[in-house]
Amino acid sequence: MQFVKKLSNDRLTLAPGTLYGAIKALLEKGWIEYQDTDMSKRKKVYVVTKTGYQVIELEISRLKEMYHNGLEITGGQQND
Amino acid sequence: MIKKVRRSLFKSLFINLEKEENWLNSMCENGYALREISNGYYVFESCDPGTYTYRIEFLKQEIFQKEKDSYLELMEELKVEPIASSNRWHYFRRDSSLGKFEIFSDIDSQIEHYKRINFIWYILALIFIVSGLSQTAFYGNINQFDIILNIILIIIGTIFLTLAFPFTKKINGLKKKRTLYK
Repeated sequence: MQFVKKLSNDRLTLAPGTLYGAIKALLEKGWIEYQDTDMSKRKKVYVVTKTGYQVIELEISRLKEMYHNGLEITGGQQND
Repeated sequence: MIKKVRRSLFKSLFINLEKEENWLNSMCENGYALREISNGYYVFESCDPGTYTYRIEFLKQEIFQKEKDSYLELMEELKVEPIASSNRWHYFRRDSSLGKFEIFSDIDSQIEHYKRINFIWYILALIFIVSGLSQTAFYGNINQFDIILNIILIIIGTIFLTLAFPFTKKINGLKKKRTLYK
């Protein structure tokens, strides 16, 4: 939760109920999975699956395309 | 110091989420933090004014039935304390110094939460109002006792409606906001 807040420059806060729903949805899609760690029983750890990584890469390339299209249209003032 | 406040039957039957949250938070502003609800009493203990923010959630049916433990575990992991519960209503609090505390941060789950509550309120309202009206509508001749009983049923149904309307308004407001963002 803190990480999301920092990453988004305080614009996004992920509330507990929302986070629970998000984790559940990602698990159901098979994009993350539960990782058993005996280090700390208190914290649940989830890792991104192979499919999950593929989806992330797809999303990144989609955003990249949008980014470049945006630059092209506005005249490309901003450097990469 | 411990302070107990009776939880009336009226209050436990017709839970007004927003009013209840505001009340608990203002109690905490005045130095009384809700510690538990037991045997029909709210139990408060003294605290530094405004130590906690309280929130109430009406749990999803499936979470309430099958995943309650893992849900509450996640809450605790995120420094949210489950304080009390009655049926699907769950009371949570978090240290106010950690920042603004909401249970849902996205519009869709906020809408869903209000809809869950309203589904119950509208069904109850329908049941009470229909049973209050049906006798008059179908039989015609009824005695005084029946009239009183029917009026009571209709009043109860109407109370459920008055609980539901503000949520319906909120849901519509949130939906508008959602279209703006999209």
